[in-house]
Amino acid sequence: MAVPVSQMWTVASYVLGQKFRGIKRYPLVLMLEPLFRCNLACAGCGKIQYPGHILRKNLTPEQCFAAVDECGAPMVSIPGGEPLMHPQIVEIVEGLVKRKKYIYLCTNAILLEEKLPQFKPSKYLTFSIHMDGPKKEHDFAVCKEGVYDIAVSAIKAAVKGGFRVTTNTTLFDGSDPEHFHRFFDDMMALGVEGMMLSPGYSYQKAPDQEHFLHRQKTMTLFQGLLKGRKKSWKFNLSPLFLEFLQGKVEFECTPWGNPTYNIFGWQKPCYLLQEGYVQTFKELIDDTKWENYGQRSGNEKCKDCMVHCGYEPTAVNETFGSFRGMAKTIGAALAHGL
Amino acid sequence: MTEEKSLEKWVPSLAGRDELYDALNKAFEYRGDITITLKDGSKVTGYIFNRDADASEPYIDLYPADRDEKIKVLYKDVAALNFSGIDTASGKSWAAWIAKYKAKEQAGTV
Repeated sequence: MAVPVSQMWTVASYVLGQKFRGIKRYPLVLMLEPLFRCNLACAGCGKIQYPGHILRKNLTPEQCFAAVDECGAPMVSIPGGEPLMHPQIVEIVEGLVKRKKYIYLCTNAILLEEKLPQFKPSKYLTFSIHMDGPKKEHDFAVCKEGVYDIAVSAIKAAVKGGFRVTTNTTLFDGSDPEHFHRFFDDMMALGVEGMMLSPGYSYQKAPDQEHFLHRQKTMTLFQGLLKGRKKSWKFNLSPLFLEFLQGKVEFECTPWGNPTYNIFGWQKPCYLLQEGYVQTFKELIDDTKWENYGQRSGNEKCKDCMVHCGYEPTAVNETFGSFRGMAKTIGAALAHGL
Repeated sequence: MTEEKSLEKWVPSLAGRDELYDALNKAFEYRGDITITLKDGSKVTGYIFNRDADASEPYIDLYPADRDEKIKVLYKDVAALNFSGIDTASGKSWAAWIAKYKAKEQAGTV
């Protein structure tokens, strides 16, 4: 397994604690978006399409800490926008480390080498580097040449500096599994701790509706990606989620598992759909009509989604929900040689 | 893939309740600023990030372009809407990027 034992223990004890207290809907990873502006303009991303006055706004460190404390999730993912463009990102990270939150700072790595000396290595801090495949595929996906090489250089520097580093990869329709096998080799050779994969999802405001994956295509692609899997490939995903992506198990979405907080408030209902905002986490959990989301709800927007932010929490909940779930997870881990 | 026509510069008719609700829904989806004329004659321009059409007093939330605060506007107070800001999503489709990339390929610049 790529994830350190201390992190697994923290997550396991947190989930079991929620279950013992009978809490049905609990957050696993807070998606904290401290800003929307970015130094890239990827064709598949709708996150940066706002007027200038919105792009110039930042969450303050205090707002970030209040959201983290209110939510209570043991892990915090910091996407954006590009978090390294936030003027107080170091202060935000230090505050979260102090709170013993496991942080995944998601970055395109363009600013990483420059900013790296400002951060201190910690088991709580992981740089999650956006890498959408081999050089040609990545530079194409981010609509800018040379970004792959910058990211590779930054990964090397971060690994050398003693930081935890993972990659995060969105897979689009037409991705070639063989190209990606070489990509997995290349990333592991750089010394990353693990690789996070997710199928692209045609979220409502993304400008790239056609190129995202539909459910059957997702399963076929992931079967191809994980066929003949090498032991050296470490995925930063739970074994059951990998089974789900290959169509080997059925799961329903857990949209409250990765709640999103940004300058507008708490996003309803999930990271991908943007149906409005509420001002407290309690309102999000208590007032959202959760039955209207997920594949079984019949909601058109949910029917093809297999994205980690909805289904990884389901997989984790399944793992710790029963002895049967734990046995399934161990079985999947063994089958994948984890 | 055909790109949806942008609503930039659209000034919807708000003659009845259905038109008002539909226009405010489109304003919520719109990726640019909206200028709202209120029934008292005042105007506010900003980005609408939230709406609740099912509330007892339906409302929208917006960030005005000229100050850093969230404000609430009740549906019943809206007299006119203008999709006045640039549509930041327009022309950003995957299809547009493919076309641009192919042109660069043909020119031998990639």
